[in-house]
Amino acid sequence: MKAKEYKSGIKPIWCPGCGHFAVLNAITKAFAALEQAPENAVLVSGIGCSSRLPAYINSYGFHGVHGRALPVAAGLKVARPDLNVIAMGGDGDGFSIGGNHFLHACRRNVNIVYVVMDNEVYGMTKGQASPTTPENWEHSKLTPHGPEVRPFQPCAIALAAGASFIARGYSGDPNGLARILFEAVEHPGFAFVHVLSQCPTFCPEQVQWKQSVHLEDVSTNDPVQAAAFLHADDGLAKGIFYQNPRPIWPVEHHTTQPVNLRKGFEI
Amino acid sequence: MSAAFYDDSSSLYENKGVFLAHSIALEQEAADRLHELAETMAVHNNRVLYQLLMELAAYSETHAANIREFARAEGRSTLAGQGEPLPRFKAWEYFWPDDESPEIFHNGRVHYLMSVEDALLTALEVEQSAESFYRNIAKCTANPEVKTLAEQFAEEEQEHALAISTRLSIVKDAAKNAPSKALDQTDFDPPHMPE
Repeated sequence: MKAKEYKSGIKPIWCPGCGHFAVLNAITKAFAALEQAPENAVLVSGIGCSSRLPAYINSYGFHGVHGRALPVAAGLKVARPDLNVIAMGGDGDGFSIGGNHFLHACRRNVNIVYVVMDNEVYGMTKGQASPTTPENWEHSKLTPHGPEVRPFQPCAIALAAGASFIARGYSGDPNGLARILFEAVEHPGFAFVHVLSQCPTFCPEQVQWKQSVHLEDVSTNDPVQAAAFLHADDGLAKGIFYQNPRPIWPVEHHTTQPVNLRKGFEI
Repeated sequence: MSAAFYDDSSSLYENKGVFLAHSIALEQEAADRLHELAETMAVHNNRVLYQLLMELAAYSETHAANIREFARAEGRSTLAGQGEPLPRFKAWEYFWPDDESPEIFHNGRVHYLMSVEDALLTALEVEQSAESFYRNIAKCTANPEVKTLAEQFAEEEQEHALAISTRLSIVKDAAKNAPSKALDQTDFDPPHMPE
């Protein structure tokens, strides 16, 4: 299938210039390269502008509850390991409302991909500070002096929590992002893909990312080297930072058959 | 465009099939992006820009079809069973001088309140970027067939740029007497009010 054949007939209602369009295009390009059968892919999202994405893809989708994309996606993958499961959402959905799920999904290492479209703002509710908003961002009337809180560091936290694949893409580079998504799907285990996805409406200054984003394909399997890189990271590096396959969950002796589960708990 | 880009990838452009595959992708990606933007403008009630972007998309679509037809006449095709297949690339394997193909309408230049003048200015820039892409290939390639084609495509891009430039002058003249519509920096999400 061609990339555009992976798009559903539903027209996105995102603002013109929204970075999420690039993520949508990157997913379709990655699917085309993977020759992904639409009936074997499931996109699971939470709530927010970016969480609308599953409706725009010609495959199965589940637009769930705020912050809960990861438990739904993990449950689905455990029940149907034959499916290619991709969870997605925004920075508020993933790092605030769903923050605890993020930590434990990294730790658990279920074989799914998690794409977070980070525009550093709650866009759907008209531009409030999110966990990744710069501490001096003064454009919201709710935080006139800026959030005055250090921004959440998604990639460093993913590494500390045990994610086995960590990468960052940029909406201004949908082809590069397609490559990262291709690699993330191929990776056995939990693959976290952080995407700098501009919000032209509430954070027009993010258009300047184009001049600042730089490629750093570290792609190390050494967690110490990855930690050193991520702690020095300016937040605008793109590429695959860390790839270190480890046993995925559920481990082999587990099964989803109720009769076998019952046996395991017999006294 | 960096000289390093052409130094690194110039060997790729010695192959006519690879050149044609890139030319088709360049036009098709431009058309797809313009279609996408046009539909988004329609969703946001900006009918004027919807029509303009659809018109620009049609130009790119026609250009892509012409190159496909040329390739078919040469016994090459992107379709199975219709001649020698053109080389296929994954999205990230194309040799573009920037992150995206040279004629792409960058999302970073788009806003739901953008004017016709802004859209034409961006359209002009992307046509000039495509022309420059082909001119550089024509300059660097050692393959006379690729050189001839690259020069021909550069001329066509120049014609498109000229047409857009003429239209831009008309729009600019008309705007001289119209009231200013600068974006209100105190409201990031004002309603779009078509007149």
